[in-house]
Formats: sequence, structure tokens, C-alpha cells
Amino acid sequence: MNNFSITAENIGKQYQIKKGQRYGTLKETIYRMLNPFQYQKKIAIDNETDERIWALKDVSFSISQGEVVGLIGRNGAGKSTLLKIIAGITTPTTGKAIVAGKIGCLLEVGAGFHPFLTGRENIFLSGSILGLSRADIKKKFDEIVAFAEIENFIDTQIKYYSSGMYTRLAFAVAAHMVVDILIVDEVLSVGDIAFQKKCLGTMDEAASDGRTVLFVSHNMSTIKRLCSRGILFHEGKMIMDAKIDNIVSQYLDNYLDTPSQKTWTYSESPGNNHVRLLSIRAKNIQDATIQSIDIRDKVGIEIIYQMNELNQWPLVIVHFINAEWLHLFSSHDYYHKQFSFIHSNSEICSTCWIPGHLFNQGRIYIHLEIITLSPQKNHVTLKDIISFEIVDQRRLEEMKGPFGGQWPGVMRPDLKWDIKQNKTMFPVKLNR
Amino acid sequence: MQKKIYIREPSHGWIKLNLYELWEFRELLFILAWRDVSIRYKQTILGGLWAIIQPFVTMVIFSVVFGKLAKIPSDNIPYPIFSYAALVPWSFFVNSLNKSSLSLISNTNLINKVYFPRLILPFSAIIVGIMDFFIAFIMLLLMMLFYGIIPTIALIYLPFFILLTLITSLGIGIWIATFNVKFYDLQNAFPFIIQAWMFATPIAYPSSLLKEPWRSLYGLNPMSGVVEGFRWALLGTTTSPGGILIVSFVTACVILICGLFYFKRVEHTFADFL
Repeated sequence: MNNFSITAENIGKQYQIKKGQRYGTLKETIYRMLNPFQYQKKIAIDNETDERIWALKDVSFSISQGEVVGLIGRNGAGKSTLLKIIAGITTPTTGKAIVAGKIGCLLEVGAGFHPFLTGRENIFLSGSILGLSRADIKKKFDEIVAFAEIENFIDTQIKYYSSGMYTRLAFAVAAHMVVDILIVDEVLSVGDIAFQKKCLGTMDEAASDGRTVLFVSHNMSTIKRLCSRGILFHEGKMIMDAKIDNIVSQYLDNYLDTPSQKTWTYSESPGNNHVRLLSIRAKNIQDATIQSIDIRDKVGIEIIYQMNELNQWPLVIVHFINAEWLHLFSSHDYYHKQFSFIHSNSEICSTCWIPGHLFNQGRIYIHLEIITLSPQKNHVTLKDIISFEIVDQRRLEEMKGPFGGQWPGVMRPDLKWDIKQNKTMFPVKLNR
Repeated sequence: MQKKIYIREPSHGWIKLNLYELWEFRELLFILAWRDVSIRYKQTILGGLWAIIQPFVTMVIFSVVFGKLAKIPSDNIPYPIFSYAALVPWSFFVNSLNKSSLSLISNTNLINKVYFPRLILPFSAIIVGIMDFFIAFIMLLLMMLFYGIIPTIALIYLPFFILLTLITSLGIGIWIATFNVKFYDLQNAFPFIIQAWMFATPIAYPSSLLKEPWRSLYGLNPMSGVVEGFRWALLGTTTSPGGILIVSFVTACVILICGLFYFKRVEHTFADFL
């Protein structure tokens, strides 16, 4: 028996980005209707200047029933477009996808939720949008409510829900879909650890029930834990289709969104007449540029810039931002060079060292500023200029205990604990 | 167990309507309609009363301006009920059009994230209007009682006119909903179009002002057929609007069927445009 679940044959999706006039305005359509001949000419001219973007090109693969496949790639690599084509939300420009069985699509948490409706009403609404029948929802209603842990608020309008409750309810409805194929796009990044664990459990269950799961996430540890196979996308093309471990390391090493190193020639370098930024990179203590680094190791941010006719030290400020775009902390070099001699024309290399055991797992993005204080002037301001990945390669139990997901918190310092045994005591006899 | 196979491929040419799929999703259709009704009741204080206020106030204004001041003939029926009988289906038409025209753009996040037959959206918008229609209709019956008008045997045709109202609203609603996705201009033109359309429909005046064959040609505006039909069935206007009705019915059906095919044809591009 042929037990394929999803087959993609040369799928391509093209988007047209008009320069100048927006395509499909009333004016343009009327013009087209009135002057069909001239319009053809205009189209020919437009086609030369238009940008056509292949969001996906020549994507072919076959997934058999029960496989859990992770789609990996940076933003805009075409993962979501592919999911939308498979789900039937949009059609491909070329090629075709053949899908066997009913698809449950979780591209957004709480699709169709309405704030003015109660939790109960929203379960029915969202359930039917996701393709559950009324009878099914009734049958599973208690299960859904229990899963979401909102028993006491089920008849409250969900605009009064906390974001956690909202997410739990949304996922609970989706988790009870009766489908052959489950498509999940980056929805597990919400909710607290305990709930995330529950969601992962549901997905494990789905897989062991023989359902096919397609999973997109930027969280490498989740994707590694859930999936057995991975497909790597880059700029709309399929780069690799292999075991998940190979895919993840390939992605971390070569295809991350912001590179971990940038260099400029003098004429193209950011800055002004006084300060020119020549390069910036993330490195380890062996002075090698890194894409990802172990959570225990020191990371250096090396900035090389040139100063011209500047009679004071410029101030270099590095901001550290995490994947949720949370500003973690900033560091500057003010006290470190205030008293040393300055040559007004020179190339400076300064490196900021961040100790190991400080960042939590995940991606760290760097913003850079170079300024002078008196008079105050910004010479270089660059956001999201480089990034690197903090990975935890130790066995899970070593640091995180029994938790499967990520350790909570934005930082994960290794702190000193004092533990002493004050005195030994006789065992207390318990009254049973 | 045999699984259903779905094929996702580029679509070209005319596509079959696949109304069966719509039937499969009927629960979603009603739950979306129920959502809109229940939200309105939660958001507004007067709730369902709005269904009466809107046509009733218009009726009062019309009675004063056109009935008393301009002295427009009303087929020998008291002017207030003459105009109200027309305003009930007209309000249904306008409200359905309003809702269905916005049905796609106001559900952008559903269209972008979930698959279901998109036709559900304009359809459910029409269903919401039906309830308002019946509330306003009860008011119409009360007014008939007040004016002592006893319906003639023509009353048995009323369901047919209600059906014609539905066909017209759905047909035009689908077209406008589709255009609204692509042409944002339309949203600005919409109130103006509706206003012009209202005066092009025999609401404030009787179509008997026109001579045949012009009167029958007037039926090309399907709403004239609806309005004249309502008056004839309920109030027993003496001049039977036969010609208008046939023309209106055919026009409405053509608009709806073309609309359905056009909608199906462009349906798959909605997610790209929105």
C-alpha cells in the first residue's frame, strides 16, 4: 500500500512586486478595459521593470504517513508559503502538491477567536473554523476545557483573559482536531514552560498515533526534540532534506538570518568623516569567528573602526537583544580607554568579552553605536548588525533537570549556591 | 480507511462551483452568522431594535418630504405604509451588501491562516441580515393592522419575493466582496452608490409613474422587482407588476450565477492580496 501523506512536485510560488503603480487599482483596470491594445504594450514595459519574486522554487519532496518533519530556514525562506500551499490557503504558481487526508492547520494561535465572545462560545467558533463538527466539539468540550485549565472562566468574555489563558484555550481547541496531517507554524513559543511541555506532549501523541506532522519553529531545541527529519529552506529553495540533527547543524553554521560577521571596504563602510566602522564579528577565545557557541563559553564581540581627525576617544556601545526582541543589557568602553593616549588618526580594534554562563539558550542580536560625548554626536548606529546562537550541548539533566523545553528566563547565569548541613537529626516518626 | 486526496495546483480557466463543499461546511456558515449576531447584541444597547429604527425613521422622513411636501402619488395607499413596505426589503438589501462587502477584508486573518470555502463569508453575512429583516417585517404587519389593510390572495407570492431579495443581495454582495479585496477605491464609492441606487429604485415613488415597456425595463434593477413585488403581495396595489418581476428575477439570477463563478475563479488569490 502506498502510504504517502504529502507529495510536492516542483512547487513554485511567484509574487509580483510592482514598482510604481500598484497593480489592480480601479484606475488601472478601467484603463485596461478602455485601451486593451495600449495596455498590452504597457504590460510589456512593466514586466521589464517589475520585480517578480519566487517565494518558493522547485520544491519537491515526499512525506509518508506518521513522519514528523521540521521545516527550517530564516524568515522569508518560504516555509510559511509552503505550509499555506499544502493547507490550500493559496495555490502554487507552478507544480502541485498532493495531500492524502484531512489537514489541520495551526498557523496562528486562536484563529477566529473573538474578544467579545465567552470561552465557551469561542471553543465552538474556533473549533468549526478548524474543521471540527459541532457534535465533535460537544463531545470533547470538557476535555478541551480541562486541557486549557480555564474551568472557572469558561463563561467569561475572552477579552478579560490573560494572554496565557488565551493561548492555552486556543491550543486546546486545536489539539483536539481530528486530522490526518497536522501543520504547526511557530505557535509553541508562547505560554509557560508547563504548558509548552503539554503541547509538545500532544504533538508527540499525534505523531505516535500515525499522524503526519509538519512543524516550523525557530527554536532549534524544540524542533530537534520533536522531529526526526528536517528540510532546510533558503531564499525559496530547498537546500537539504535529511535527518534533523544534520539539518539543524547545517542551518546554524551556514544559513542563519543575521550573519555573525560583517566587514566593509573603507568606501562602503558605515560612519562619517571621523569614524568609519570596518568590521564587526562574534568570536570565541581561540579568536575564531563563530556562528554558534556553547552556553559555557566566553563570547567576544570584536569591533574594528578607523578614526580620523578626532581629538577624543569615541565611545563604543554594544547592545544585546534576544530573539523575542528583548533588550538584555548594554555595554560601553568608557572607563576602559579614558586615560590612555589617543592618536587622532588610527585604526582601533576593541573587543567586548561576555563571560560564559550568562546568556540563556537562543539567538542573540547585536546593535552597535559609536558616539562622541562632547559635543554629542552619533557616528555609527546599526541595529541587528550581527547575531549568534547560544546552544546548550550538555545533556539535559545536567543543568535543566527534568525539563524538556528551554530553561525559563532571559538570562541563565551560573550562580553560586551555599549549601551546608547544619546538623544531623534522628528521623522523625510520622503518625500514620 | 480510504483517505480523501486533495490536489493543490495552479488554477486556470473556469472552475466548477463545488457547492457541495459549501454544504459540508454548513456548520461553519451558521456559526459565523451566529457570531456576528451575538457580537452585535453584546456591543449595542438597542440590539435588534436597530432593525426597526433604521427603516422606520427613513419612512417618517420620506412621508414628510415626499408624501406631504412633494405630494408624490402612492398607488392610492397611505404614503407611510407605501414607503415602509419598500424600505423593509431595501434595508435588508443595504445591510446585507454592507456586511458582505466587508466580509472578506474584515476576516483577513482567517483567510490567511485557515482553509475553508471562502464563499462562506459573504453567505453568512447575508444570513445575519435575515434576522433583522424579520424583525422589521413584524413592524410592517403591525402598521398594516394600524392602517386596516387586508392582504389579498397575492400574499401567497410573498415567499417568492423574499427569495428574490435574497438572490439579489447575495449576487451583488458577492461581486462587491470580491472587488473590495482588489480595489480599495470601492469602499469610498460604496455609500454614494447605495444612495444613487435607492433613488433608482421605486421606494419613494411608485413604478406605475412609468409607461410600459419602460416600466418592465425598470426591472433590470432587480431591487425594483423586489420592492414592487412586496407592495403587490402585501398591500394589493392595483397595478400588477408582472413585467418588472420577470425581468428582475432573470437579472438577479444572472448576477448571482456569474458572481459565484467569478468568486470561485479568483478565490485562491485572496490570500495573496489581503
